Amino acid sequence: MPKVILILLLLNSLLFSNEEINNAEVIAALQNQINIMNKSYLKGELLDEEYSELKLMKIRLKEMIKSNSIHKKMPFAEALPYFESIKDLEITIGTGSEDIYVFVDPMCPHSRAFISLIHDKEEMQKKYKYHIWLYRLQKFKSIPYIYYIYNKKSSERLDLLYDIMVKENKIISLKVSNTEVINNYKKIEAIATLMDIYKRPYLFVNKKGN
Amino acid sequence: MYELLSSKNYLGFVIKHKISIFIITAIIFTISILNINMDLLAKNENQFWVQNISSKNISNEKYISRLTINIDFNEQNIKKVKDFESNLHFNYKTDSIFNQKFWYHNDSGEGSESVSFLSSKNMDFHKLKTFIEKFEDKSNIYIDKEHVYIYIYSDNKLYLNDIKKYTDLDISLDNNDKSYMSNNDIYIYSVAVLILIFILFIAMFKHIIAGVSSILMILITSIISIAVIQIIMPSYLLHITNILLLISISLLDYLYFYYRWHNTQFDKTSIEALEQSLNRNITPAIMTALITIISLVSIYSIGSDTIKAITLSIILPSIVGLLLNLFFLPALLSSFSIKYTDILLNKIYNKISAKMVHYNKKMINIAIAASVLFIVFMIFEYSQKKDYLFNSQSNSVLKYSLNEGNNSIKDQLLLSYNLEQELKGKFSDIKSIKSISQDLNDITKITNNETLNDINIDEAIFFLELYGMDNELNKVESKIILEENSLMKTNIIFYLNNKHIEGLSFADKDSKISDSKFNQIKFLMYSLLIDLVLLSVIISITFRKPIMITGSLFVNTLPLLGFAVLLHIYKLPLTIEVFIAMAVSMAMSSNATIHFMYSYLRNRYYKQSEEKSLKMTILFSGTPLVISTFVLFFTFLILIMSGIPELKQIGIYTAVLLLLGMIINMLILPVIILNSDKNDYSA
Repeated sequence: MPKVILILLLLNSLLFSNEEINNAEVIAALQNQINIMNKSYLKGELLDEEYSELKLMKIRLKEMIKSNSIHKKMPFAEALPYFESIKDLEITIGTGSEDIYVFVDPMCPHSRAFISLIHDKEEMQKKYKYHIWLYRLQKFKSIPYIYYIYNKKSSERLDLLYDIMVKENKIISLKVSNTEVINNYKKIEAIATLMDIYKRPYLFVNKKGN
Repeated sequence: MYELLSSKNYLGFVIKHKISIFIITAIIFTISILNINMDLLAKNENQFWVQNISSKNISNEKYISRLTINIDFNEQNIKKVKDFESNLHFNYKTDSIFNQKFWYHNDSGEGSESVSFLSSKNMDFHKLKTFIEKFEDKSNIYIDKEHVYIYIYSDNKLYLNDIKKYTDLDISLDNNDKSYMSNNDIYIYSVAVLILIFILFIAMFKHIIAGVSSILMILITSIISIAVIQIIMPSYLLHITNILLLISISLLDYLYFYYRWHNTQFDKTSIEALEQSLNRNITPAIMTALITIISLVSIYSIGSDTIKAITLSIILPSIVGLLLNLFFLPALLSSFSIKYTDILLNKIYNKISAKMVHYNKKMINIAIAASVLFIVFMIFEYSQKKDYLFNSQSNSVLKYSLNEGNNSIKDQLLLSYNLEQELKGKFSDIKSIKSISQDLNDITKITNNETLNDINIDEAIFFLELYGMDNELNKVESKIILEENSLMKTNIIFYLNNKHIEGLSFADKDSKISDSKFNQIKFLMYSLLIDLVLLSVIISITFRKPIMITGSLFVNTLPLLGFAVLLHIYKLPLTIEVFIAMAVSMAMSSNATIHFMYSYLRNRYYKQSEEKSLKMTILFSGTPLVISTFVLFFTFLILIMSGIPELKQIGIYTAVLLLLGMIINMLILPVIILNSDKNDYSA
């Protein structure tokens, strides 16, 4: 409950905004609170209604960030633990020694163009190892596709990804009701929100020597 | 040393063997002329300066010229320009609006976005128009409302005539000036100079032998000197200024000998006049040659090839001229006599010398002290204000590269980017900078809304690789494009030079040459200053007059100082042409100082009064100085007609300096000499 009061206070402060309040500070405070709640969620400690509030906060945060245009990329060193926490959900392409971490939406045209480029360039696959997570953009109705891909075994996901994003094959039956898949996706979503992944494709490049 | 030499026997020997002397001179002259390699005469400035850069450092570089095409922007004209560029491709690499790729923010909205690039290649007119509008800030170096710009890479310097044959469009090149001298140009100029000198001498002395002897002396001295220089420095390209120096030096001592011989025939025979001429002039002529050699040898031994060539261009004609004045000239003149010897401006010289004897000693000392202070001030001024010191008349494209050294490619790219931003901030004339660092910055602005830094550079490099545009990543080069008519290019080179950035080198031939010129000019200026001091010291020791250190320094520096003031007022740059002009002026001044001093002190030694000594000095040393100045003034002025900017500058600067030198030597030098006279020889 105390968390809810804090959230409401924060939200109210936005509604009756005092011009002296710095938007950036509010965003930072909101992000911090989301962080805390996400950690609880990952541990499985969050109640259902708290999870709803968390979702609300995330939406609000996104809107604020967008209107404020403050998209600061998380430093790689800070982002790495988050990648590690969702490592089991990554789809990898390439065998190179340099890592690239990418968030894509399978329906997003730019994400598709990006994956196509990687697919076509063997030398880029030899140089880099791409760690790919699927994370939807609001405007595309990609959730069924995301669930469909994550419903497959790890070894099958890449080919399916290529089918959808490179060959642009339509999948007829996308219905997935596997709770584990849904929860897994929510994990990705939580991480992505924390990291302010606001566009697709969104990259983190970790070159050799870094 | 003021005792009269007995030159009667010597003259007898010369006259007796004059045929042999003519034959030997003719043989040496013929051998010299046959051995001169005309290909070793630099036809243009760049050819001359390129040899100062090691071939390893310049052979891969290209000249970059900006071609401006004046057209109205419509479909038909753009097609014409495209066809023109295609024709150019047979011989040159080009960079234009028709082969550009610009990075842009591909945004489908609501988070669906990426960085991509758009290529103008093979675009039709309407797409190209949209492309130009979309990337206006980047395409303005290639196209604006009235012009299309094409950047041409060539092995040799490009001139408009080389390009005009490909099109009938209205085009112009940045470096439109004629900087090319063919062998024919050199011959024409040389013949013009010789004809001018011939006519002037005949007009002044009213006898054909004046013209003939002057031409012969100049020709023989110059040809033999060039041949010897080419033996000493076999593969060195001589600049036309070396030849001008040869001509100037060869005239100087000759005139003292000839004038004395000519005028003494007023009341003496030709042979007696020759004897007197030799008596009066051998000693100062030998002194001049020796002093020249001593003062320049030290500079020769420590200098670059350019300096060596310039010092040889002064030393050799001094030696050769002396030998010719001692042997060939007396042999030649002994066959002629002058019936009507007008002594030029005698009345004026009488009045001047009478007034000069009663000069104000205190004023002279104040003037010397003030001039010394002014010299110090000018040196300080020049060391502070460098903006206009070195300007560039050539094109407005500059390219440099950052080589690996100890830095990783990422560090080089970041260094390159930061340097580019620094240059943009400092030089307002920079229109644009094209480089891989700027491309990376374009990418990071799109992907992260940030300028390039050590964190986001990896992602930017990745996108370059992803789109196959990473082939230039191993070569960190920056191409700076300046506004039209900008004179900032050499300032930028100067600035980059002074920053001493490890691994930075200029990557286009013009900039490399400017850099070389800049390094040479610094050294040349210091050499000039050292030589001034050395000359003054040696003169004072030779004549045993310590006061002549400051006196001689004063007289030789004053014309240079006056000239420096003019440069400062008109914000004219310090260039090699200025140095050449100063070298000629210094040669004239020091020569005049020696002859004046010798003549005056010799007269005083033989118990002549100050006034009489001064009159004789002005008459027999001053008149040749005036005549040689007059002749050389017109000789150098002809250069204005060459159409080549560097030669025009040499012509004007030298002509002005010669006049200044003459005025100071005629008006102030006698007073300095009087000042140094401690009445040791009072009657």
